[in-house]
Amino acid sequence: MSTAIETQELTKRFRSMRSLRAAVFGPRDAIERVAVDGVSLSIPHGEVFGLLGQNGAGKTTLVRMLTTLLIPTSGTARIEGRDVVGDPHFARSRIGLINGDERSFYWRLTGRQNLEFFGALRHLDPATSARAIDRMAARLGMAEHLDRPFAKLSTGQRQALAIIRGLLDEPAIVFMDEPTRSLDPISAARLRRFVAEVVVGELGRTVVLATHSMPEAEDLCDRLAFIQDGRIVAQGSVPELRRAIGYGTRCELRLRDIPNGLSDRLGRLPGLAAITVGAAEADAQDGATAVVRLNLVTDDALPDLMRDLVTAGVAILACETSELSLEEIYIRTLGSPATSAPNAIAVAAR
Amino acid sequence: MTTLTRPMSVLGRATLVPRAFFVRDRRIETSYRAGMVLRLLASAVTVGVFFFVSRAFGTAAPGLTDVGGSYFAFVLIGIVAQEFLGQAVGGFGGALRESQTTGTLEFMLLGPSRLGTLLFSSTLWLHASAALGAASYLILGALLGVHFSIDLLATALGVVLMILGFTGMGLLAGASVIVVKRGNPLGWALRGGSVVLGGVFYPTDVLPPLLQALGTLLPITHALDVLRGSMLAGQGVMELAPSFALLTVTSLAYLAAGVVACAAAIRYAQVDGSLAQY
Repeated sequence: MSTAIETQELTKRFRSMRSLRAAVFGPRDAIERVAVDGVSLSIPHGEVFGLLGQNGAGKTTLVRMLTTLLIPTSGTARIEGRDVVGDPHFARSRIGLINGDERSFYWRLTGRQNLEFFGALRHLDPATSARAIDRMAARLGMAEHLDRPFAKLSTGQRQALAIIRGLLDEPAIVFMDEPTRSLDPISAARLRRFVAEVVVGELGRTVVLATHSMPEAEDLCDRLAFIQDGRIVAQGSVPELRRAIGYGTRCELRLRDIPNGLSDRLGRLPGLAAITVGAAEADAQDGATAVVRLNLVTDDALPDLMRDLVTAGVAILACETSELSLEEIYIRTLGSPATSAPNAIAVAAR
Repeated sequence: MTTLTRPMSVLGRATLVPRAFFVRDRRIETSYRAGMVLRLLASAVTVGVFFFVSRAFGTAAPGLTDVGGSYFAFVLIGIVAQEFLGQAVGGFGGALRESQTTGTLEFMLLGPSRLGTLLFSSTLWLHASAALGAASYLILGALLGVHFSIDLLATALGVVLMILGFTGMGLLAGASVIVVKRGNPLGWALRGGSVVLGGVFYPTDVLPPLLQALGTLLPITHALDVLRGSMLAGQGVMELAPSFALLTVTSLAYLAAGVVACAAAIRYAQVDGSLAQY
C-alpha cells in the first residue's frame, strides 16, 4: 500500500502567556510549551489509524498540523507525498475533518443549508452536493432533520452533520478528532458502525482517529499510537502492542493434587511473564484446591505448560485464557511518565 | 456509495464559492427580521434628523457651492458612503471574529479555495447589504427634496473604487481582529478616522491643514468628492479625474495592504494555534 500520511520528527511548540519581563529576560525554553514532540508516523492508504492519549496529550495538535490548520515548529508532515506546509492546497483537496465540536456551524441556518455551504467550499456543485447530503443523511438517520435549524438539533444530530460535512466530497483521508466526545453510548455506537461500514468498508478511506475512547479505538483501528506528553510512546496493532509489553495471553487454571514446589517449577518455564498461585475458594464445587494465574508471552507456551502439569500429576479442572484489553494495554503502557524517544516501545509498522 | 464528480464548468466553479458565501450571509441576515425592520427605521430617523438640521443651518454652511448649496444633499451622500464603510469595516471584522470563536473559520480554510477567494467572497453580502441601505437613504432623500443630477458611469466607477478601498480597510480590521482576538480596535480607528477626516458630515475645508492632509490618505475623502460631483452636480469621469486618480491610488493601496495583512494574520494564527478560539 502507498503511504497516505508520513511525518518525520514533527514538533509543535506553543508560546506560553507569560509576563513581558519573563518573555524578554527569561530563558527561551521557559516560555514555550511542547505540544507535539518529534512524532514520526507512516500510515498507508486504507488503514484506520488511532491516536490514543489523555486530554492534552497532543492528539488534536497533531491532527491540526496534518490538516494544515497549524504550522509545525519543526519536522515534516506529508499527505500523499506532498508537504502540508509547502503545498497546503493539495493537502486540503485530499482530506476531510470531522471534529467533536458541535459549534462549528451556522446556528441560524438549517442543517441542509450548512452542508450546502461547506459543500461549495469543497468545490462541489449544488446538484452533487445535494445528492451526497441526502445519501449520507439517510445512512445516518438524519433525513428528516436536515431542514430543521441547526440550533434546534440535538448533540447527536449535530455530530451527524459534522460527519456528513467531513465526508461530503468523499476525501481520500479522513481525520476524526474525538467524533463521539459528547455522544451518548447508543449514538456513539451508531457512529462507529457508520464509520466501519461506510467510510472504511464501502469507501475504503484512510482514517486517522484521535480519541480517548478505548472501545472506539479497539473497534475501528488497524493500528494505534499511544501519545503522552506529545510523544508517541508506542505504536502498532493491538496484538503487537500486547506483545510489546510482554502480556500476550492471560491464563487462569483451576487445579487439584498439586505437588510441592510447583510454583517454582512453573516459574522456570519459558514464555511465562508472571505467575501467581493462590488457594481456591473453600467451598469450590469443582474440588479445586488452587487457582493459578499466568501471563504467557505467547500462546505457544500454553501446551508446554499443560504437558508439564499433567506429567507432574496435577489434575487440571479448568483452563480459561483471555487477552489483555486495549484499555489494560493502554494503562500498562502509559501508566508511567513518558519515556524518552529512544527508549520508547517501538513496534514496526506492518 | 459512488465516487462523486466535481463540477466541470469553469464559470460555475469560479462563482461557486462567492455564491455560497452570498447565499449563506443573505440567509443569516434575513433570519433576523426584526433587525431588518429596525435598520430601515434607523435609516429614516437618520435622514430625518439631517433634513431638519439642514433646514435650520444648511444653506449657510461654507464649501457647499459645488453641490448646489444644500447641506442635506451634501450630508446624504456622506451617510451613503458611511453605510458602505460601516458594513465593510465593522461587518467584516465582526464576522471574522465570530467565525474564529465558533470554529467555522477553520472549516472555511480547510477547503481547497484560495485565501483571496474566501476573503473576497466573505465581503459580498456586506456590500450588497450596504447598497440596499444606501438605496433606502437615497430614496428617502429624494422624497425629502434632494435633487440628483447623476452621471451614471462616474457614479458606478466611484462606488466600485470606494468599495475596493473599504474592502481593504475591512481586511486590515479583520487582520487585527485575528491577532488581537478581542474587539475591533483597528476597525474602530479606521471608521472613526474616516468619518472625522473624510468629509462625511462637513466639507474637509473646515479642518486644519494637518488634518486635511491626513484625510487625503483615506479613500472616503476622494470617494465623497467623486460621488458628490457625479451624483449631485452631474460631473463625468473626466471632470472628476483628479479625484478619481486619488481614489484609485488610495483604494488599491488599502486593498493590497489588507490582503497582505490578512494573509499574514492567518499565518500568525496558524503558528499561534488561534485559528479557532473557543
